[in-house]
Amino acid sequence: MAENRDKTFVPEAGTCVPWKVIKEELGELPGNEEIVKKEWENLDTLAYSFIWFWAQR
Amino acid sequence: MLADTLSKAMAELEEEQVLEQVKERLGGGVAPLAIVKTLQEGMVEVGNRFQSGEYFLSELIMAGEIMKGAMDILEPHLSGESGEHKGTIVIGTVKGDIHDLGKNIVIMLLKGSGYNVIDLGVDVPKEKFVEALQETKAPLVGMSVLLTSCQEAMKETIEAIRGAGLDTRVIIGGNYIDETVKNHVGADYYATSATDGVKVAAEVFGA
Amino acid sequence: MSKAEKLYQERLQRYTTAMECGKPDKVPITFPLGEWVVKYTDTTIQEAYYNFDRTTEITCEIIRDLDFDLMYSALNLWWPPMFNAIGSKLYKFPGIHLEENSQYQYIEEENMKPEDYDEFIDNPTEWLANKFLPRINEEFANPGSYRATAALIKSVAAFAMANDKSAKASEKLAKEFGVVPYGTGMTKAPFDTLGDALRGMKGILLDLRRRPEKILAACEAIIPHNIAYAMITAAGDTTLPCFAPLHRGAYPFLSMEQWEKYYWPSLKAVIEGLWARGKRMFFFAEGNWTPYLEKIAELPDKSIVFVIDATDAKKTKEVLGGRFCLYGGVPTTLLTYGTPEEVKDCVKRVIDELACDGGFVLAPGGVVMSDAKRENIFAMIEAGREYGVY
Ligand code: B12
Repeated sequence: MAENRDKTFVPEAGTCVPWKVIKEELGELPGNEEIVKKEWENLDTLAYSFIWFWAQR
Repeated sequence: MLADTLSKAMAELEEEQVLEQVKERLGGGVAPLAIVKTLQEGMVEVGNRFQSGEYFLSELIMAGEIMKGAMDILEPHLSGESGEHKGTIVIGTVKGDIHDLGKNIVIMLLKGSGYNVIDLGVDVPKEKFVEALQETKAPLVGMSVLLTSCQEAMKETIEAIRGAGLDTRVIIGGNYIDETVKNHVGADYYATSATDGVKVAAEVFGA
Repeated sequence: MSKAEKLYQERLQRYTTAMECGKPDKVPITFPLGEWVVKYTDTTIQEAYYNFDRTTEITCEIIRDLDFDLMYSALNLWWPPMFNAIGSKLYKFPGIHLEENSQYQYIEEENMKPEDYDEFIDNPTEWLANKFLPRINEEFANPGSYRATAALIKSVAAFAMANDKSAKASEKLAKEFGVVPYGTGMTKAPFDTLGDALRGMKGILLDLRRRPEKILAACEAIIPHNIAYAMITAAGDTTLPCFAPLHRGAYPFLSMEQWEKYYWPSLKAVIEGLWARGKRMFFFAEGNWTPYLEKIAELPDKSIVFVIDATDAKKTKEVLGGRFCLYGGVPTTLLTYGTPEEVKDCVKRVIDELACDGGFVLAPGGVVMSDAKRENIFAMIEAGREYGVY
């Protein structure tokens, strides 16, 4: 639901939108959560390192 | 020891006190140039403290900032008054290099010692050096270089200056500068500290 | 195992032993990759930056017959397309902003204003994404606009491509030539993260007097990020140290009190945080760090590789030797103005003075740029092998 996306949170170091945030929004998953989570986190890490790249240059 | 309270406040980096006293003195009819001179005495003390290891870069930058604030107040009153100075020096960081902290400190101290300094900025092409020297007829030019890869640009700049028939004295400065580099690029003097630069200026201008 | 793989293992062992302050069979030697390589090819610096494959080719060519252990840095540290795509204002690159044989330039600005401190401290990652990225990237100036969206997509894709390409290049160097990278991942001192691309040099030095408490709070907020960033960019590797270019901690930026209060505690926290994860820091002490050696000695044994640039080498050996691996010894200017003979003499002296009881890597102290001469670099490597047998 779109309004969910406006929720504010402070992501921990190393994350942008941590899995636990999205999991709360998704609720129970019909399939294997681990598979989804793992790839979510890989991409989240990429986004995090992209954002910080500019500050760490 | 500095006798004047304004010079002292400057040397102690008391920003508010400096600005207050500048305004007070202006209001009290003290000549703006005299105030500048007093401030510069404070700056020289800042330079000395840096040289002796009592002050660090953070203090130098702060001193520059306070001086700028004071000059903002003074400048409107200075127009028309031609300040006497010891002579003109052109200075810049050579082409390809954008490091300017060292150069700015040198400028600060040279101004503080009473020279008229023309700052060409960073990444300065040789043509700009030549042009500025032809225009100002400055007897001394300073070049700053931090990157070893830009030392060649210094050599080319000095060649261009000589090629234009100018016999301006050249001083080079930076962290990797030494006798070898000086000889390689064909400079007259070299400096690895800002105060060395002031000494050379004193020699060139006989001040 | 192929010959190159065997070499790789041997060299890695040498480096690891040195990092543990032990005595390997030989002093490990570093090959400094840099723009100087390009002038011995028919390639321009622009091509070397833009074209990864060509860069790998010329790198392979120059190292083909050399016997060294570690390779320092990369030629395309920054892949310009990633910056071009998003209209970055941080750098100028040859071919687009500069003449094709110039090295890139970094443009320092005050990209974070004093009034941004609180927002940054509360949520650094969000502040960077929302405020910082649009400020430093022209194509991304209006997030949500068509241009900005396209630019972001392209730049992120380029980022992923560049990471992949550089991983492949170092794999190739390892597999075919047995070359060990000097490190994996990068991070900074929190004070430098704040003082470089965010507040800028002048900004942070003035903050020391005008809003010192903000510096402390910001550095505190940055600590966990600099630990995470190191581990992420190293892809979890802990065998090799993590690069950390240290800027404002050099003499004479800060007074001893300032250094102890504002620079050191947060850097120390990052180093200890990494060390707790088994990761060392490649402590790239740019400039002169002599006055701070005693404080650095407080670190856990072996937690850093200390790079000697303009720091007093003898004193470094006295204070840090035996507890931390020391790295460096050859002045970068000697590689430009010296002769191969002079370089050899220097290497001999350095090995006598610094390498004697192990825990040492022979290398140039600072970044080697386009001015260095090939014959001098080769002489350094040869002399390293000649004199560097324990
Ligand atoms: C701060 C810094 C930067 C800042 C510059 C900010 C600025 N506005 O100046 C930023 C981050 C932008 C930067 C960028 C780069 N940098 Co830089 N930088 C430094 C650093 C850490 C300090 C330099 C400094 O300001 N020192 C303080 C000042 C006060 O000292 P100084 O300049 O030596 O000046 C004194 C004297 O030399 C003398 N002096 C200087 N000029 C003159 C002139 C005259 C006429 C006189 C009389 C005296 C004089 O007086 C001064 C006061 O006493 C040095 C390492 C170090 N600690 O030295 C690296 C260093 C200079 N950088 C280096 C490099 C490689 C780069 C980059 C290429 C890399 C990068 N990661 O982006 C870019 C280059 C961009 C470009 N094209 O120029 C290398 C150069 C290596 C080499 N072989 O030359 C160094 C040595 C780091 C290293 N160890 O490898 N850098």
